[in-house]
Amino acid sequence: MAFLGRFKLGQYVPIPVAVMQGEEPALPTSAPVAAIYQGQTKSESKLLPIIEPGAVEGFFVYQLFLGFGYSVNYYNVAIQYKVGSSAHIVTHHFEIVSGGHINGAVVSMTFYDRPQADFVVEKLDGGFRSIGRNPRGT
Amino acid sequence: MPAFPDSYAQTADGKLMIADGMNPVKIWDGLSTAPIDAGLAAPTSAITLAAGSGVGEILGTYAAYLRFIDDDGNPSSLSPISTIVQVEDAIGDINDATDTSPIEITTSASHGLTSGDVVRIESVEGNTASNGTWEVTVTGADTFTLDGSIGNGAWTAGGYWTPGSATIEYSDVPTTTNPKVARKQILRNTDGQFSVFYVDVDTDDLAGTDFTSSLTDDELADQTAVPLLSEDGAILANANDPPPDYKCVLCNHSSRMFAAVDRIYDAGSVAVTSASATVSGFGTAWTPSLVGRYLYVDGAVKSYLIESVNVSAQTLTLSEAYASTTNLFAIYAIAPAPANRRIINYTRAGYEQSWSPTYGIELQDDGDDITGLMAKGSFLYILEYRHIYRFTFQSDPAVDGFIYQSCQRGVVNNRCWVQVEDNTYMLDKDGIHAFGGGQESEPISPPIQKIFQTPDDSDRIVNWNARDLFHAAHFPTEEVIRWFVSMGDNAFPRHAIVLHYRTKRWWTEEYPRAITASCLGLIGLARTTFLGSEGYKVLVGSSGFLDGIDKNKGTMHGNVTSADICSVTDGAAVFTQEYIGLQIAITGGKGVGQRRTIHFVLGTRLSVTDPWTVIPDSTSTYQVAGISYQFRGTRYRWSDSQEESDPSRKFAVLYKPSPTPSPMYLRVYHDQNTTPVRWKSATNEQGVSVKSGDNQIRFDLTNVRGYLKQSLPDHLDDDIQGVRSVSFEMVGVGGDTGAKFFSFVIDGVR
Repeated sequence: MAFLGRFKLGQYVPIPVAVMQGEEPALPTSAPVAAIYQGQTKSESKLLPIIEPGAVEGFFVYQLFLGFGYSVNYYNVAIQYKVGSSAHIVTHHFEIVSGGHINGAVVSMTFYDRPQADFVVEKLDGGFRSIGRNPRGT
Repeated sequence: MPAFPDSYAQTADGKLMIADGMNPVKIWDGLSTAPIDAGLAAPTSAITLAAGSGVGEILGTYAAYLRFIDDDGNPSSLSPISTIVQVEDAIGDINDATDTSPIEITTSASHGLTSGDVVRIESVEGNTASNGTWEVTVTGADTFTLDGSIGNGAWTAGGYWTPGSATIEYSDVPTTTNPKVARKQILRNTDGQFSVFYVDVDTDDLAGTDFTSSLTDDELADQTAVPLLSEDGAILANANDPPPDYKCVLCNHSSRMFAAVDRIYDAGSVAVTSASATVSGFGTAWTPSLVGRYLYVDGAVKSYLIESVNVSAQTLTLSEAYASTTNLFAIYAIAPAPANRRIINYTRAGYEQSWSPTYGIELQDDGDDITGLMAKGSFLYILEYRHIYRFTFQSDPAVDGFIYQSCQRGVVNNRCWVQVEDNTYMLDKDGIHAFGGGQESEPISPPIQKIFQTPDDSDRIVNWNARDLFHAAHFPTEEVIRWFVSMGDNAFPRHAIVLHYRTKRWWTEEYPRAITASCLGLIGLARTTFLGSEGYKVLVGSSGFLDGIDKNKGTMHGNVTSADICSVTDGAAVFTQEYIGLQIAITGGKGVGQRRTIHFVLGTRLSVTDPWTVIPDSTSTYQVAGISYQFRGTRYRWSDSQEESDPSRKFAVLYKPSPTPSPMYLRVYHDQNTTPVRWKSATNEQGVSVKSGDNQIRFDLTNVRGYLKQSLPDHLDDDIQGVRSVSFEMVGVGGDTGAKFFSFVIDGVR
């Protein structure tokens, strides 16, 4: 079981798997599936995309966004795939520490000056837009 | 893959438009609770039009459109046209048409008309002046005169008459639940022409499907006219589509909104199956806006039009079956139609929400890609990675617009240029240049050029793979511009390339957190730069001396009481949960120089995310949220050998005394050494101290003199035998009131 690291809410956890057949890299019969668990409870499942198939064979990484549904805690990841008729499972774990937010980073922002108030309009990594009004109470 | 940044532009009436190239363009007025979709989608089905009951004055060949109107009076484009209908009642034969003024018509049977009705006369022979559309005056049960007519001969044979209808009936009128729609307008032409339609029905009954009009052609012509084409032949009534959702840069210029830069989406991978039109995505976040764009699969022989998107299943349906071989693990990209790539779309003047695919200027292909748009003065600049073009027009971009190449520099994305006074400072892959709007752009970053290009120091060069997330901001109070860039393997920017544009001085900054967005705004009347960061945080740049917290929120510095591998405790401190995510630095004693991020607060104990390399102890001091600094000066040559007996080699610094602990550490490097000198002998006098074996000298900036000096080893010291040159590095952490240096002096060098 590999430790993927400590992350904050709103960050991305790279969940990798190198598909092997014996000692050799191989392609699975279908995309590997990563199930993320908090304790015994499965949070969600994700299909892993392949990375640079022209350069590396059978290397898959899913960028898991720690958004809604995640909290400060320990998580386990079980990745399942099949090569030919043989099934494989790879496990990882990671920790979410405090200091983040499920909405993630502010990826763009603008100041919007209106007669009734000043606004800062933000786009967040979690996907939605937020509007801050009258910065610092002016 | 991080979310795509938004592009922002304001309309002439002050609304904020927002585009990201992946979703419908939004608009916000600052009053409603949230931005809404910009523009209005046109009705998608046609009206059914027919003559109503009763004889009247409406007579002719008609067709109708429907359009929606929003609260501000902005129209949508038109619905499909209705079927073209001849509005007429029963047809009657004519037995006579007198050669008089007016002509009197005798019908073959009782006509049932009343004076003022309108009839069409056709196929009369002899008195051919009868033929046409006339208002009538009834003179008998089977006779009427044609008002204003003049006979031109004796009736010889033939003819029939067609009475008009009293009303027009519209059915199958599309409904809408779009909250932006305030009204529906049914447009109808007047008989004999199809170039101008008029508002026949204007209603706020959005759910109604059946409407009736009794407007005659004359009355209709007094209503609002909606020409289909402009005088120049440009599409007009149908130039009111919503903004293109595949363009990710907006720019307002001369009362028109411009849109450019096609969004390319390539996150994750796809599974494509030969002879199947269904494509599955892994690690994708496809949106409905991808419909109408094209799928490019690595190894396929052609691209495929996307017909639909299943967002929950993350599957695409192509317009045709995939013709290449099955590939369950293919890399791919989704892009708008290739013909759009060099197009800059624009709106009609004053109608920033009204778009048409036919309103666009095409930039000739130069092997480069468009990265942004910039309005400056009377020009719109089209920015590419390696080129800048200047676009100008007088009244209509399509009629009198011209594009000229300005220079062969560019910008990596639309957020990496900053206008200050007469210049625009831009970051491209060759560095930073100052663009004044003319034929040349001045390269201004040669002093720091290696961070753009040097391949042998991967931690300190720009990571161009992350260029889409770079951004820049002006900090007016400091008179600097910061380009927030990624260096090393980071995706989000954690570094800034900084230009003091008055003195042309450069430096770089590194931050403990990613600076992911920036904008210039106001606090009161003061221009202030806001910074976006991880964890849904917005920070105020250049405000205060601590990073991310007010100094009055708790204990910001102190002495460590105890520590373990992942924490420190200060029994006298008051800590709060606001400390989570801030940095703690060990500023003195054991473990000095280490910085960690606080992730847990329990009473007087701060836990950090990563273990200490050297665990602090009770000799240690700490600073929370202090701003680190590091200055490495140039290399100086010691004085010539005949002067080496001169004992005056020393380093001195002038500073603003700090009321809170704020030590500065001086490191000395000899010749080409990359590690600092270790000091053999200890000293501790007048605010300057060093322990034997340490590699840095501590300057206590609380010393109220504001001036500290340290003699440096002369040629008699064994450690510097043969040393010819020296350089200095100052490092430290600003305290609660920051750290301010006025100058440093080195004696004994030339």
